[in-house]
Amino acid sequence: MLNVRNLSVRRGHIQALVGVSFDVNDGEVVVILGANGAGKSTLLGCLAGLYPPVGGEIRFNGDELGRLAPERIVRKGISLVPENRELFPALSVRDNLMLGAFHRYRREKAGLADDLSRVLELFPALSVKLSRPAHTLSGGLQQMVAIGRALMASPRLLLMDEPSIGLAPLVVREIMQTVRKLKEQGHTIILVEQNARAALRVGDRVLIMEQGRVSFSGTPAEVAGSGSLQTAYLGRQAKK
Amino acid sequence: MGAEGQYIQYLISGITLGSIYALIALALVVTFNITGIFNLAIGEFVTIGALSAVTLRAAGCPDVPAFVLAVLIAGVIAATMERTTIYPARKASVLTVIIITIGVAIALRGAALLIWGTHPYPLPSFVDIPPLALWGAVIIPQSLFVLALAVVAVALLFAFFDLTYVGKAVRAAMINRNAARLVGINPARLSLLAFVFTGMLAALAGIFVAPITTATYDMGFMLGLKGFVAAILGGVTNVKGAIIGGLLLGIIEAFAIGTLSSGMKDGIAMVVMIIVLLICPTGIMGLGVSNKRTGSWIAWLRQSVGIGSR
Repeated sequence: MLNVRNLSVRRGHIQALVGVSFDVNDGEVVVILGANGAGKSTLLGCLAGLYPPVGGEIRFNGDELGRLAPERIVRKGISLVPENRELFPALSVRDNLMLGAFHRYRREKAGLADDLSRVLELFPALSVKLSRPAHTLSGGLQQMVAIGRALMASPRLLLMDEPSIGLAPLVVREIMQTVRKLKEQGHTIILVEQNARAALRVGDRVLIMEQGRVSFSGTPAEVAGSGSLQTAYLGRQAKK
Repeated sequence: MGAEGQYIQYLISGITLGSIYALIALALVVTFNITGIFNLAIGEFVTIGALSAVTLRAAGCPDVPAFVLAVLIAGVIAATMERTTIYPARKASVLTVIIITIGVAIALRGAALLIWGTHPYPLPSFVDIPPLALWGAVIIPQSLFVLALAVVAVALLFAFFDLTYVGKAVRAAMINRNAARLVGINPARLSLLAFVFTGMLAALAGIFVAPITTATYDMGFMLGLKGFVAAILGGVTNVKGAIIGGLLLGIIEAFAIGTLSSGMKDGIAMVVMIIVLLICPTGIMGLGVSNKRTGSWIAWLRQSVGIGSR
């Protein structure tokens, strides 16, 4: 589905990604781990079109994405749940969700109500908050709106950038359950997550990034089986 | 006319003038919010609207079709301006784009001078009825049309932003450009839409004000400048602020002309702008509010008028 080869990205004077290569297959959940500044968010941003690559190749279902703008990439079927959610705070929850389907509004107007219902089935807590401005919601509900908005685009590949950041443990669990449900529904997901333990439970494969490069590619079981990776990314909890 | 009647007269004149400033400020603020660019050529679209309507009427076109065609001409010119000068410079600095819009303004004014010359052209009032008397003041019927245009334009604008899907998409792009792009909203298309819509709005304002002021090739210059001051007064990014700023500027100007000197007519707007930038740089509606976009503009303006930056 997604083939990334020798991808390089510069952000200002910094070489944020250096020769990154990996593949994502249909229906997979690929977890990306790494320290702050390793290039994880830049990688997702680049796949979503926010940061144009300076080298390498991104192929999605055979199409070269190259330097396509974000508004073109979402039409190809890639949707990003950005770090910090990036909602439209003054707009209502309903408007935020419906705008997620902007690129297909004209063609599939009739089906959008059903899509909204499906999102609300996934996040029932949003059903009673639809007319509330997005900025009045708690962090957890805002994250649900951000995921729901991305799903309204009907993506074939969902990119999730730190969906649990800044959320209470119970909400993190709920968000991870949502990721699991999406996986069961057949969604293909790239998940960047600091909460490695939670992410590894839902992931099929793991990429570890260090200083803009992919330093490890394997399965969650391989990460759990490696003492050094356990220590680096799973911390003391993993040793229990 | 007693003193009370005079003050009412100033107020009415001020509201009429202010409605035009408000419309132009509205056009500027909408463009700025969507594109991050202040279209300093907006005043020239006032000219294009008024003079095109005059020419079309003179060619035998009935009033309403002439006005519609004049607005469409302004829309086509605005679209051409956006595609040929703004879009290619979309990655350039704010200062570069400001200079581009000033250059376009000069070019459009020059073209208007070549086509229409320096002669002032009258456009008859929309209705042929005598002025109305109200509490000792005189109201020109055309003033009511100007006021009605402002009210209708504002109401339609709010309805568009609040009730339509595209309007909400525009608001989304105004709030967070990158997030809007991530859901498929194309800012380049919105930029074109903003320039065309605001160019047409300015042209409509020109058609409505021409029966009061007559139409000349340079009528839009001061109106554009005052619309700009009204936008600063209202708070740069605030749609409601643009309307309040426009009305307030019109009223201040009318009272200054009436009580001080008619020579103050154009200077007062500049005095107001400098006072606003010194005392409350974020404008009336921006009090206590600051954002990166507004901040950079205010810093640029404060430096431009020689009062440095805080």
